[in-house]
Amino acid sequence: MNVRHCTLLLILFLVAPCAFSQPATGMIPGEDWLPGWEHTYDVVSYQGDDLFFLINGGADLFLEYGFVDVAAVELQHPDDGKLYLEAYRMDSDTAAFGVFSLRKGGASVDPAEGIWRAMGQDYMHLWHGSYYVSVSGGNLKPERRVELFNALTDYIMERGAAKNILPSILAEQPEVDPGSCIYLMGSLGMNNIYSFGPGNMFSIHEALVWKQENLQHFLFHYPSLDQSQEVYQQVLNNMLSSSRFSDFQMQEKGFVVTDRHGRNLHGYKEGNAIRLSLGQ
Amino acid sequence: MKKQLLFFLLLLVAAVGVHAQRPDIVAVKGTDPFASAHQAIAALGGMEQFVQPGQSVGILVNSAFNDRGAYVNPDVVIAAIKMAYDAGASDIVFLQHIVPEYWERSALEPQYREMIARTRTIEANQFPAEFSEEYFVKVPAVEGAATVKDLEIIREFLEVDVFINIPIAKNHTLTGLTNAMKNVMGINSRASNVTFHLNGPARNDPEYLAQCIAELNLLRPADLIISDATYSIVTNGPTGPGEIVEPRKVVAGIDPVAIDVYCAELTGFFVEDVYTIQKGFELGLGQKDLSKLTIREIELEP
Repeated sequence: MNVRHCTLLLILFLVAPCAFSQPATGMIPGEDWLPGWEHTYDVVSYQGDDLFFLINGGADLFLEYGFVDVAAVELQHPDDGKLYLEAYRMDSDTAAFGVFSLRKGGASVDPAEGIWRAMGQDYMHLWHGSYYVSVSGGNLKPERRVELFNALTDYIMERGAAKNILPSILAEQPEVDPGSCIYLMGSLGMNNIYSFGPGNMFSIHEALVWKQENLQHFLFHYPSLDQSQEVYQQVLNNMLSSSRFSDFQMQEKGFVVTDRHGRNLHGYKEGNAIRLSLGQ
Repeated sequence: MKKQLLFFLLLLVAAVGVHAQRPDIVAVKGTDPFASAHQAIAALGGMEQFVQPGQSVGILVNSAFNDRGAYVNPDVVIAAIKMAYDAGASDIVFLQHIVPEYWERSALEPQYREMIARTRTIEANQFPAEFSEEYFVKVPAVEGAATVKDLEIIREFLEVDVFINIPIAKNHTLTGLTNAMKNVMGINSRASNVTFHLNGPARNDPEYLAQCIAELNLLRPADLIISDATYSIVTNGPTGPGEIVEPRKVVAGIDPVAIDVYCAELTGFFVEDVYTIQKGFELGLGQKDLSKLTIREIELEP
């Protein structure tokens, strides 16, 4: 193998993962997807801040995670009804996982190889590599819904292989089920879960939220020990002075306060992280 | 002459009495959103207080989501349409597009199909809601506003005789709670919405967005607000699915700040988390201290 071959191999090695990162339009089924299905309008796509033109509410969340582009279309069949599909390309697998984890709500997840799916009565959320796909089937013939959702899932899978790389923070938390946790990459997402008050008390860089044994757990992870210490001190000061939380007490391990719904919130620092557990 | 003066005084006292009896907020609790909305408007003095015969009515409904608890229950809207037509409205237009499927979510749709068909909806105010001279109008400045300018808004919002705002009280990523004040963003072109989100000191700055929303409300106060707080998502908004609360109330009035405060408390949000309330109060859009208002709460028989 000469230098030329080595260079070619190196280029292929570098380019191969990018080849899968095709524009979001690549995830949209064509009109030949299944017999009888047609687009009711041309596929639309938006990049970056233009996402606001597609989404009337909630675009800010995608931008926080790291949004690249989106494609959307409505498909119609004369007998089976209509499907609406939005495919979002995020800037990483973990960003797409984060959006998926939040947008699916409480729907249970089927974590298949290369594609994770959360399905409700008339909707479906998919995580496939750096893509998050949402499908609305409220106007589908009910008896055809599952079959069509399965066909769509297969179609997305066939667009390219995906590893579905989970956030590294999850690897360090074996007790957390990735299918039922929420992964955050900023403070906006937290507003959709629990309010610690105006501002960004936890300076959220990345966080996990999950429920276990009647407790809601929060794990805020920081890039350095210094930063986690600084934020923890800020949290203690806030908890002491906040009118939102009462009965502040320092304990052997961390602190305890009571929120306005009368629930106990226990927090402590551990390595680069701050951990909280909220009573239900 | 004395008799005439006495008659005039009696009329004056009666008029003042009627006005004094009219509550600032009516909240009706029940299991039937149509009946609750009807009762709430009736307790405010009836739709005749807001719509005169021959007037055109523009209605703004938060309808554009798929999950229950993320959109206004259509029964509430059907009650408002019926009462507006009964009061003599000549034309009812939805200022933001409503898809036909929305009405099919209501069991009342077959009964009121013809009535709904009489209404109009502004097709242009849906995705991508881009500016066009036909449907939108440019508003260079809003009186009393320091932040918003060069707005693009739905033309008919300024042209209709009566503006009825029908929001749902639910969670929103940036504003915490979305309800009466936030819903008015529905008259914006998407380009205007982008400026609200991104032109602040930081991208998606909640305080800046709230300031813009409050100033947008200065453009034209709603003549009537009917807020759906029957079944609401309190997490994962504005799209859902999310955790649900069921206050089972329809809340009506004309003060957007007061209604937002009332609905925030009703759905478990902290008033101080909702920047739009503070900004709206500072701009004089309404009262945030509910103890200074007359609130009538009604519970309907199941």
